Amino acid sequence: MSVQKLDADLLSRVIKNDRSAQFRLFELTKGMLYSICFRVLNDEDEANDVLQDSYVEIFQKIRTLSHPEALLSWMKTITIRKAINQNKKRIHFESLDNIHPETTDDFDAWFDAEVLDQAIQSLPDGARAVFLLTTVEGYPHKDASELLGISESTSKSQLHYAKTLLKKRITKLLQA
Amino acid sequence: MKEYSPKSDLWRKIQQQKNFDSQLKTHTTNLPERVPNKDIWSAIESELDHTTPVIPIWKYGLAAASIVLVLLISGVAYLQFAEKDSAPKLTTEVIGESPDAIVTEQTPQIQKEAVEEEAVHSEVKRRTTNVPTQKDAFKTTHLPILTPMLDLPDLNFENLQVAEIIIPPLPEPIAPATLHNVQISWGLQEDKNKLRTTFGASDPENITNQQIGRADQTPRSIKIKLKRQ
Repeated sequence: MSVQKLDADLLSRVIKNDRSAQFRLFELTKGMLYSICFRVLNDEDEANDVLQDSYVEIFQKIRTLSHPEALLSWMKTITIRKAINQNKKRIHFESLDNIHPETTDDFDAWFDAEVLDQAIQSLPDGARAVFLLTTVEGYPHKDASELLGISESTSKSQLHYAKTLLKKRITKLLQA
Repeated sequence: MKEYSPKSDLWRKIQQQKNFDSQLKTHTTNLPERVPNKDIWSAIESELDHTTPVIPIWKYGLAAASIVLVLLISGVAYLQFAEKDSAPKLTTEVIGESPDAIVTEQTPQIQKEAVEEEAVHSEVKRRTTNVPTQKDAFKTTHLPILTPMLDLPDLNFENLQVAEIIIPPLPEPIAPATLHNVQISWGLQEDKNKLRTTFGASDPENITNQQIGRADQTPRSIKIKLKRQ
């Protein structure tokens, strides 16, 4: 999706509740937002429901957007919040005191985005959520911990745990 | 063909990129994009059509609260000012029968007022009111008032006859209103010994300057028309 296609004219028409402009914006951004929903929820039906609610809220509140240049990040934030709220009851952060994953400091393999995406899906809900917010979406640990309702230290330890699991999963996927 | 050799540190750089974190940083920005259900747009469209527009209720609430506050403040201010206006006075005024004249030790003050009282009482007698005669305590001394002499023609009554006597009907007897005010002060009293009397006319202080003439005829005066023979 090209950011250049989201020009000021399209945005002004969306604000005026132009249905064709709204559809155009939906077509340009649906893949990005649905991917976020699916990776957080790991379920297609739930991801579609959250995506629908997100777009309804986006079109209702787009008039309140003070900085039009931050449209995409604003849309992402709304979608991520809705996805996390939907998955909050299921997200469970495993206690890392009793878990000692095999250390793979000498990771020696090349992998691509498809392999990484498959490995992310196999992560536990809590670790996956922390990994997606911090590494994929670029949230600092402070903001990510606030969204998830955990402490910063828990967020950092969960990220380290997620990376360790990813190395292990990617190695297995490449060997398969 | 001639072969070219790369730099010697190329292999090291390639191995550096093989690092997990560097690969992670590269691939997280290029993760594959997934596609939602095809009928999701129709669901979004129907939900947008059914949802009512967001009304800033808080704005209306704020406006209503401010109006209520203004009305409340104005009402409280009105009540406070109204209470101040209707506040009871310290002195009460009772209109009743005039008490007897009180002679006090401060005779000079009484003497000053005696001159005025003399004129007032003379005027009272001329108007035949029911004011009781004053006591001798008020008649002390008075200074003669010099008035300018007016040149008027002499009246000749020899050839005059009474043409008509107009006697106005007597009005219904009305209980004479008391013209004596007694002030009883329950609080602050400037001077207890001050004597206040208002006999007869409404403004006795200026009675000496008034001249009774045709313009001042009361409706009860008897008119006699004269004619020459």
